Amino acid sequence: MSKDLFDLVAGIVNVSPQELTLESGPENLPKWDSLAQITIVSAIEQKYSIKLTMPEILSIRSVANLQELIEKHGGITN
Amino acid sequence: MDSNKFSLLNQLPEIRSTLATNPDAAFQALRSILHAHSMPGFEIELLGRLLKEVSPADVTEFNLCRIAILSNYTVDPLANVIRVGCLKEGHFIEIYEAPFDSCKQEILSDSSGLYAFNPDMVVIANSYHEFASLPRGPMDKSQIEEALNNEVEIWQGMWSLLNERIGKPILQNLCETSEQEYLGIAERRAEWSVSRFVENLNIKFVDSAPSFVTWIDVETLAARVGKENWHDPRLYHHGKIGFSAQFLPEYMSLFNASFRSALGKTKKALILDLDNTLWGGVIGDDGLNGISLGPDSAEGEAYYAFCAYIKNLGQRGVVLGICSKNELDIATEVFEKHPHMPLNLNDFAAVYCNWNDKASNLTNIAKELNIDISTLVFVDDNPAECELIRQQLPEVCTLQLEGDPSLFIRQLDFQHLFDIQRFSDADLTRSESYQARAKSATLLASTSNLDDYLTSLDMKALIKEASVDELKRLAQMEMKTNQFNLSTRRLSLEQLQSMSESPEKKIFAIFLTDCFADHGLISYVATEVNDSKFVVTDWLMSCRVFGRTLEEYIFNNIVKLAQVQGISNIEITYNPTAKNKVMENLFEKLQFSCVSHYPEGPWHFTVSNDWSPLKCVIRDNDLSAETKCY
Repeated sequence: MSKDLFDLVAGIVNVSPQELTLESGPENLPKWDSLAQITIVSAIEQKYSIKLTMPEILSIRSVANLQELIEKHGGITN
Repeated sequence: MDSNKFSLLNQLPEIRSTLATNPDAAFQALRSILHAHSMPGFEIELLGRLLKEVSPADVTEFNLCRIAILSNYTVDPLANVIRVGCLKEGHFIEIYEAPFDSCKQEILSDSSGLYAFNPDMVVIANSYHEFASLPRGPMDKSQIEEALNNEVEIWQGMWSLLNERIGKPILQNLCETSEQEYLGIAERRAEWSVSRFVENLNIKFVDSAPSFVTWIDVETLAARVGKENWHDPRLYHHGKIGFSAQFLPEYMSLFNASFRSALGKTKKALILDLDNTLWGGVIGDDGLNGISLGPDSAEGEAYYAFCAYIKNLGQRGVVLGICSKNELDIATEVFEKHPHMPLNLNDFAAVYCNWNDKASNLTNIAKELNIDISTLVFVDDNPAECELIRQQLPEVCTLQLEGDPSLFIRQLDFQHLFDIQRFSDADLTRSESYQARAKSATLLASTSNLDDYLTSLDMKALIKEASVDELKRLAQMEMKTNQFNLSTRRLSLEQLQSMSESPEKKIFAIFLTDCFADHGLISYVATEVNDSKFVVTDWLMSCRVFGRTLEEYIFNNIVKLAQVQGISNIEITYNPTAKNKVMENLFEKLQFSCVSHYPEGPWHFTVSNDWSPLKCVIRDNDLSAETKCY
């Protein structure tokens, strides 16, 4: 589990981190709308000093996707 | 300092629950945090989203301000940064987000959501794509002039309609010019090019807008951070995000300056520390030739540039003042005699160089200048001084200079603290009129809260006999320390070593830590047992830690040492110099009385019979704890 990432996503979609799983995403969290998605992308880019491509941004469907992308770009979640 | 670094993420659960149960308390706490820490963009967005959930009905202590935002960008990030920015200024914000790209419709239709909301302020943030008259291709000079005037007329109509129907301040972003260069320098020559057109339009807007329109100069900000970074084509195409969220902190500073302007709450006075703020080093210790100021070193040049910047602020109408722990005579010498000090004493309307706590000095400065204390900006390099002011005078804007002096100008300038919308004749002569009020600076009772503050520093000290390595450091201190220096004998390493080996003499090294930093070795005391007298021959202390009850703490321990050896006759030998006057007041504080002094020779003080341990707020550091020496 990467606590920072969960805290960040939970903060943006305004739920408690315990309510999130790796499978959480726009399909099962009503507050994870398209605007929240952009906010999440922008936040992880700042926090982990990475840049995603537009296709990557469009591909995000879950916390697990976010974690994969952060690691792919060399960011470290903990 | 890392332990003091704020992380919104770590405190999120607590903030969220306080916001839900007691929003006023949460706002107070968040406001302090915003004043003491710069939040990265994503934390600002996150906090803005949390604030959005708070119902205005639950907030009683913060002024409510209703803001309507009209934009052809996605409004959400702007709304978030405005919520956070205004909270920093002490306002709770309720926002009306007009539908995307509906600016003119909202203004023109008298039944729009904008008017139903009845805002206290309207924020307009558009990109240049919004301009109807934007040239679509080559046009001649007269057509361009017509297009520009046409656009200005359209907006003058909008502004007067808003003024008629709402009559409240309008804050409007200037437009960023395009980052695309197309054919390079030819674009600069061609008045029909988008960049040139938008540039000219910005100038016309600023020149022709009525005074109830307050501008937010986003074009200058975008240029400063670089348009390639400012614009984010991915998020623009994906969600019409106006600019990269990493620059929300910079936008917030700029927005807040306009917000204060619109409400008539601009900052008026800049109150400065001296040592390591206007010059490198400590004037009381390093002397006129020892401080870093001027072209002899890169560091000296950086301090010179900072002083010159401040002089320019003064010429633009910012009232300048000094609040420094220093001897007045010694500190003012820099302004009178240093060949590379661009500031003169008469550039300052208030000069407070003394050993009082800075909170009472700032209070008195505001009184003396007859301005509200919330219009003061206080700048200091010392985190403990800044924390004192933030705790005791939260209404003062406190800026702690950090690190490299070549970046001091940016640290101050980029906060946009003194931004105004236009110069008036009064601005250009204001500082003179304040100087006329200025009186000499001697002061005053300290605040009753000083004890609380010092206690909150959580200071721990350690006193031990100096090791060989520590003696080396003490020898360096001997050369540099002029103010808190009992004998000013300039003992060399060899002398210190031979003292420490002598059975009658002892050298004690003193270390201090507080909640901000491990200050390391900051003081030493040399003692000597002589004819059943216990004599303090040397005592040095770094001026960074004066007046924190460390003097009392050390002295309590010295007396204890003497008493352990069965000696009750304790004496201090003080050799006055031009620079160590700070010590004179000390002896009385330590309950010593002067037994003899000679016009030219050393003074002898002795402890009275009814001496009891002095009050101090410093605890013993664990002897086993590792203590660094540097």
